Amino acid sequence: MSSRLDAPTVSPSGASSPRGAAHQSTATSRRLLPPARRSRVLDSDIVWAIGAYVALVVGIWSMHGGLTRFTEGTTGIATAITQLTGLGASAAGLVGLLFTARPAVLERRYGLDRLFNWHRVLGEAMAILVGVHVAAALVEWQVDGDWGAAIAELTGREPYMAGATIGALLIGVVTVTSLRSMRNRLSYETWYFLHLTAYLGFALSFGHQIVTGADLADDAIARWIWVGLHGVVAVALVWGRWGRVVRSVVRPLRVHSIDQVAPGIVTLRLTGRRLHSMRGSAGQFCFLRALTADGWWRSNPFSLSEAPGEDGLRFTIKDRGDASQLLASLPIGTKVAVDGPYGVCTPEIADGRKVLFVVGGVGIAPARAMLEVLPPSAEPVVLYRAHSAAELVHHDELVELAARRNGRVLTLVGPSASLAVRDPFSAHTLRQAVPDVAERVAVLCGPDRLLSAARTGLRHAGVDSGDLHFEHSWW
Amino acid sequence: MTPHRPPTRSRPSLARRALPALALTSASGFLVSVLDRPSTIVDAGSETSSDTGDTGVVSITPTSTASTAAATTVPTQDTTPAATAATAAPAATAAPAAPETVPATVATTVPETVPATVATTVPATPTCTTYNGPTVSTKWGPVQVQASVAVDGTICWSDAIVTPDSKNKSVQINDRAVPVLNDRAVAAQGTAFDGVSGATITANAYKQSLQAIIDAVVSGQVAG
Repeated sequence: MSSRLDAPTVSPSGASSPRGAAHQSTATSRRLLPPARRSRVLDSDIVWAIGAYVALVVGIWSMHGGLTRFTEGTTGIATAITQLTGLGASAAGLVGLLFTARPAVLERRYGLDRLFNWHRVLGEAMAILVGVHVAAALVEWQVDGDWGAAIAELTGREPYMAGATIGALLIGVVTVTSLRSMRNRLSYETWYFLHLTAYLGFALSFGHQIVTGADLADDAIARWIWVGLHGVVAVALVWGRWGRVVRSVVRPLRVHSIDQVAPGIVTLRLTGRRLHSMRGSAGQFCFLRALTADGWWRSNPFSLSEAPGEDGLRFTIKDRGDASQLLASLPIGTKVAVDGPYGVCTPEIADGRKVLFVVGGVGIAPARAMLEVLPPSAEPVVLYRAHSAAELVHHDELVELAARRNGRVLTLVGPSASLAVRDPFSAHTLRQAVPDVAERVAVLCGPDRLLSAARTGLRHAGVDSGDLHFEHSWW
Repeated sequence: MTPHRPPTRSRPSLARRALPALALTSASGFLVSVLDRPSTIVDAGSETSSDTGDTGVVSITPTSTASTAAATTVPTQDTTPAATAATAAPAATAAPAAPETVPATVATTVPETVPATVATTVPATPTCTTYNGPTVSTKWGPVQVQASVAVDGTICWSDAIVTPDSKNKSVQINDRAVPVLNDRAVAAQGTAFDGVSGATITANAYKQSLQAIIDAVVSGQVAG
């Protein structure tokens, strides 16, 4: 390992760095990692799974008299609602938790971005269901308007209800801190650690589901189904989520080199023996965790800017805050835990067709990586938007890679106000720049504003929405 | 040229980032331990329980009268059809009135379950009459107490002859709770005794049904 580290690796800025040139000359002889496995999951599988799951929950509820309770007056209706919302909240929460375990079959089919967004939707649904559940339970338990007694019973006098009460509050805190407006006020890690208390909320509320919840307390089969579901999700989390963290830490890669390629933008190259057992495709991203005193507790996603090979993973990192500053300043040889790669914008989506990349700023990284492995038939066109010429990174690499595949790179530089065209991503402009735009598969990468402008323009220019590929924003 | 930019602000610290979550976790643990009080004493006198609203009509009728050693008389098996089935199991296991253990004299066996004060008073006023209390509806089902009470209100024995049995869980809870409640009712000579953890509702209904018997006997509404 140390023999690789002796060369001074901080090179002057500019795309014509010696390392970049050397890399190009050897590009064809690189041993790339085997591509990420494709998922065989179909949309119809998901529909079936959701249907079966909803049927299970509603079935358990109605088998225990859920529907007939609606004829039993206010208390009966409240009981029915309490039970259904309780089961529903638990069911939604379990699936939401399952998505954070990042099951590979789902991740490779739908992408981590969509799993996280589903996690968000399910989490919010769970919080709403918990709210209704609590309100309905109070109605169910109060007699003659004596709410105090109902609250006393439900917050502690009944077994496991103290835990359930605090569990519900924790779910509330986690949900509120994840609302966009709150989320933006917290640092990522503060939010993340608060988010972890949802595990505690789940654990605290489990007891009352089994003991107080009539659906589960009185029906051994339903109870074991429920315990089983929790067990499956727990195993998925321990293996998929925390196991992945442990495995990445146990077998870290090391910083091989850090090169500044533009002001505030560096490339980070990681190497290590673990690469020989990894899979990964161009266009994917990894979570990086620097194993240093001030880095081990945070993990942030970065895109591969080169097709991942056994000779290393290259990331292009823009200075966006603490995490990127830390990674950009790591000493050579520092251990970095790599979790991933993840992502569904991989070269297979070209599927023999021509490709258009629309990228903004440092979003060039995945496009640059994909260009490397696209076949000449892709005739790739790269629309590259940047605030200034200095922020165009990997430009020479891009031009060369595109030219070898009968493609080209179109750059659009400068503040929006200074551009010759008012909307560079209007359908008209896109058709002028890329006459065959409607036949192409489009890969979009960049800030949200660019994504939404480009999506609108490309749709109007005739690109099928199924041919638009991009990462959804996560929060 | 170096990419090592000097830190422009203080390095983020793990402690500061983790503090809110740790505080929340600690507060949760504390609140759970404060709130979790399933075995809290329930004052039977106050009408705070959530199941006091559905009280049935109190109609206390003596079901049997015994002259001597009545304290340990088994509730006669011909009381009511409903009671027959219900009494069988609890009586055998818990009631201080199991037929096999009917003692020749009260003093020798009763002290095991009845406090000394009662043991001394029971022989003095041995006339206990068995009554069925009112059926009290709870959200889990009906509760009815059968108790043997002397004219002065002394409780000779008490037992729940009807308990919620529509759910396995209720049966399980009540199998455990009813014998305890029986003992506590006799020990307390009234309804001012602790509830049973996990059976708050049954305990409150039990007390209500028992209190109705005591009230009826003491006020002389029924023949002693």
